Amino acid sequence: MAEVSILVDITKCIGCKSCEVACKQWWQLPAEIASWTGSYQSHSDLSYNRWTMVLFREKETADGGVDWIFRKEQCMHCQKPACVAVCPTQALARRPDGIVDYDPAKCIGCQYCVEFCPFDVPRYDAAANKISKCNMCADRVDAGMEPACVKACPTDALTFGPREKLLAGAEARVAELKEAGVAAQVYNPEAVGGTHYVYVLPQGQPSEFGFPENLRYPSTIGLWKSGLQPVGEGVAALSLVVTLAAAASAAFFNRNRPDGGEHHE
Amino acid sequence: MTNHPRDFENTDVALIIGSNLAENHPLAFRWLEKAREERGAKVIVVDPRFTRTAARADLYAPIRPGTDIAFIGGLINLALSTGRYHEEYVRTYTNASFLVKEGFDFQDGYFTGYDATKRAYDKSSWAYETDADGKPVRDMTLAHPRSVFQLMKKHYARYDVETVVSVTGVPKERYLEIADAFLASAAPEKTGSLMYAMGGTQHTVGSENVRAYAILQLLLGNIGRPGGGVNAMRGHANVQGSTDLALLWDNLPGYLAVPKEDIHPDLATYLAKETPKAGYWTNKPKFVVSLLKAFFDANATRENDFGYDWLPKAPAGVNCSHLAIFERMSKGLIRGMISFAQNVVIDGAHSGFEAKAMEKLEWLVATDLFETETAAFWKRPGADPKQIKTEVFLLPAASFLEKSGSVTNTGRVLQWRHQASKPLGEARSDAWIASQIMLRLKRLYAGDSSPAAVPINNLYWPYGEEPDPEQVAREINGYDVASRKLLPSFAKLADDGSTASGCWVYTGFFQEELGNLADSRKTDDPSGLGYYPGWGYAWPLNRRILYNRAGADPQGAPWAADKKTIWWDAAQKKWVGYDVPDFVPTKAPGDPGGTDPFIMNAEGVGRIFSNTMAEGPFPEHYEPMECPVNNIFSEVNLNPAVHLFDPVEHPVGSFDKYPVICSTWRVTEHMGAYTRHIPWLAELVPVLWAEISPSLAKARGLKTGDKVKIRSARDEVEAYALVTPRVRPLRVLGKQVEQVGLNWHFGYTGYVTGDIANRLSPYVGDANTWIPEYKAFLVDVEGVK
Repeated sequence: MAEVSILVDITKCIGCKSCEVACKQWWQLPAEIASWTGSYQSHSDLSYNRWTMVLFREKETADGGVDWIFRKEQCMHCQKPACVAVCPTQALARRPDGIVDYDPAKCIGCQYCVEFCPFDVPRYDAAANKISKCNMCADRVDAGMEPACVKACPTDALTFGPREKLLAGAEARVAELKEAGVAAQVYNPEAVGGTHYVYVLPQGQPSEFGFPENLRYPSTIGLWKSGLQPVGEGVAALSLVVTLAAAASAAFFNRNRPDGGEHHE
Repeated sequence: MTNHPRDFENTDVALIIGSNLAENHPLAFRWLEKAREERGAKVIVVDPRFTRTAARADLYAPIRPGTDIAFIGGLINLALSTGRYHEEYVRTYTNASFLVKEGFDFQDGYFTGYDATKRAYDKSSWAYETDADGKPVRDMTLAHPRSVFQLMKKHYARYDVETVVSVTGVPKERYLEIADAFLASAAPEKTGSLMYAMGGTQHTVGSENVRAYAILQLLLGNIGRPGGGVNAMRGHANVQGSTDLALLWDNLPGYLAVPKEDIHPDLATYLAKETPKAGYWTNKPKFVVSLLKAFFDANATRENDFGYDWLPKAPAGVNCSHLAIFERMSKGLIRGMISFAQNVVIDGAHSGFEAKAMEKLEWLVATDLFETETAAFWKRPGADPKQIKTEVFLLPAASFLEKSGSVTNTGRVLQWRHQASKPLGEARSDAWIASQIMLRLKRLYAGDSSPAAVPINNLYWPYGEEPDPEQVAREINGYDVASRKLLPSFAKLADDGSTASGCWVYTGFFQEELGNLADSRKTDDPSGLGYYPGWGYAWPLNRRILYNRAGADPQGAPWAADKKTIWWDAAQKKWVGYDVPDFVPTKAPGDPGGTDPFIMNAEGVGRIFSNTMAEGPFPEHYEPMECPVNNIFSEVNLNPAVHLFDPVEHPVGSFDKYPVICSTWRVTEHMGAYTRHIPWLAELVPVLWAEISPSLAKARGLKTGDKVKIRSARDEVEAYALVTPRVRPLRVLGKQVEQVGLNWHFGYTGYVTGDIANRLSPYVGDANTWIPEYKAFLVDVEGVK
């Protein structure tokens, strides 16, 4: 099966949030009327019922102007998904087409994915004792449709299709922007083997668009996978849980370091 | 608009001024992004605030609200003084060569003919010089000092760059960059598109702002051409349709004037006064009589003036615009109001006054999807319901998904929508509600011969208990009265009572053989220019670009190979091409009138000089009613033709007390007040915020998230401060002037609530349309302790 991807061209996004609403509508996720964020951004963070959101960032430019950045945030659908590696029940699974799917029926609420995700995406709900995240509308994709957010995007800032084609399109777009004097780049980070959400970013560091600095694949996973990867769904072994919990807290600690480094190694 | 949103993909440069295109028309903006990607088009945004549209612009300039004429006047001056205009187009297709009568002048801010006591002009001197046959005299060299070209040149020579940038607050370098980019569209092979919306119109000089845009586009040869045009971005899906069908206070359907009691006593006088001597409007009697036949059918006969007497007439000296209606309501002169989906408590000017005026009503019928602020005006914050005697009837309306019918989009394209689901509960379509009201009136007036009863009894009302939208559509299209066969074109309408049409500009959209063309969904586009002639139906006669004769040169060949509309085929002796000719199809370029593309004007050409406006034949800069500086172009601060309302009822603020410019606008997340009733949209923008510059925030000790009070001379509201470098103070005539902006979506009903921004706005309107000046007024801002 050919891999699929979504290309986000930041230079075409108008920050309309149609993708946010389309996601909520397709998945029938309840609205969360919250206190104001202090900006055009609808909420301060992703949540159990908010799988995608447009981040709004303002940056003053050298010439006295303003850059206003709109960046859609959601699960990145990594080639090497840490969440899948640590999920003990295969509730999270990488499909052959590259989509990192999620099956809530299998989720036991262990939250290892929450701790290990290098992009800090899955969100846990205590009442449901489950996590949630974007699954690139795998159901729609299987029915031959584009994901809901892509369908709703009015300016083609979001496009869906075969990965190779979108990657080539992203490179072409970056070349075009460079010609126009914009030091653009493709964001498809190698640290996680590439992502199935690929971005065209205008000039600036990925962190200015809200991506992690020094993105790393959590190295504790390697240790854990070599000897401790659970087999099947039998995950009750106490020693395993203890080991994972230790690994998770280490990962959590590292993710919250200002420099994002993994100094424990 | 003259063009249509899909056509934006054909432009070389777009000037978005007074429109927040990406936020309020995201799908239209898509085609501009395509033009940029595929043609290298430049996108220019001129807006007081750095909006989401500005974020996607190639060139952005901040501008002081209310100074568009200075901005555009400066571009006109630059175009003329540096030769960057489309010379052949201007000479042939506009009235630049026409001579103006001796005696016309402009002095000290006034054109000739001003009467200060009436605040109105006698326009008799704003006229062409004519020859013995009454034909305008032209000087094709454009050199005559009384030619429109030279008068224009003289008028706008005053709009030099230094003056313009100091009045508008636009940084000079940026202004010149914008001028270079947009004036480049003067090249015959290039086109530039101008988009505007209510940022242009909601001013005391709103109509003249649009005239200024039109003059600039005529000078650059950008009208009638793909990728060009003066493009009004209508505020929602059917604003174009509602104005076509006479939602404007001074129009009957099809842009026919509402008859006035004093000057239009009978049909013959009305037609004589309203029908010009030349141009396509010479057919007006056919449109008027056909409209009367649609209204009154068999009861309309030649003997009774086709029922003309039964039309309501505007009383002498009484203005019936929104502002004037609420002024009269406040004096107890209006007993009842039917409000179809209008929410005046939110969107009215000085809206606290309008809400208070409604307390004088005996009854109110509010027809809406939700209980809006207007339906709930009697329990608004601060009101005492016990003191309000108005009887309120709230009628639940069906939403657009729950009924069938057409909408006419901003590109004049009628598109039929089919009912997707049955209305919830007791909700009914607007057509059902309107029809039931009329059916019941007819029952109440049956057998009555009093003057009030006669028009009701004679009205043709065949819609029955459950109106069929297709039946209404057929009547709007028009038919032969005897055979009831649908007419294919308004060219078939007659003034003898043999035809009927509810809105002549729409005739042709519903045909006998072809059926309902608004429902046509063909996707072929032979031009490759996005005309899509089989998708819906663009009035008039399915023309996708108006005045498209101007898309070809005087000899009839396209100006540019990649921007073809129609062209003259000498072998076939007719106009051929991708669009329906907006011209007599067999009139050759060499025929009399063969180079007159603007067929709706008596003179056949575009009007750089016009006698139709209230305040002058050329747009002239005047300050908003509440302004931070005195007018530097003349000593006349305010447009001398606007009506002044009672300053005690509607106080006017001065800059010393209210030192911050305020404007109101929308956000993409909300539509009017309705979306606050929809949880998925309410959560996107949950509070009313005020956008404030870092310097103003510093001066008032404010930070983002603080509650602020914003006061105008009329009222005050509370909002949250959003301190952002996207809003900057402007340097205006040597002064640093701060500005603040608020969206007007909020109110006291729905899932998210907030103060009503329009409580602050001034009670003054444009001199022609009376649209209120929502976009430029003065306030002060302070933190709430």
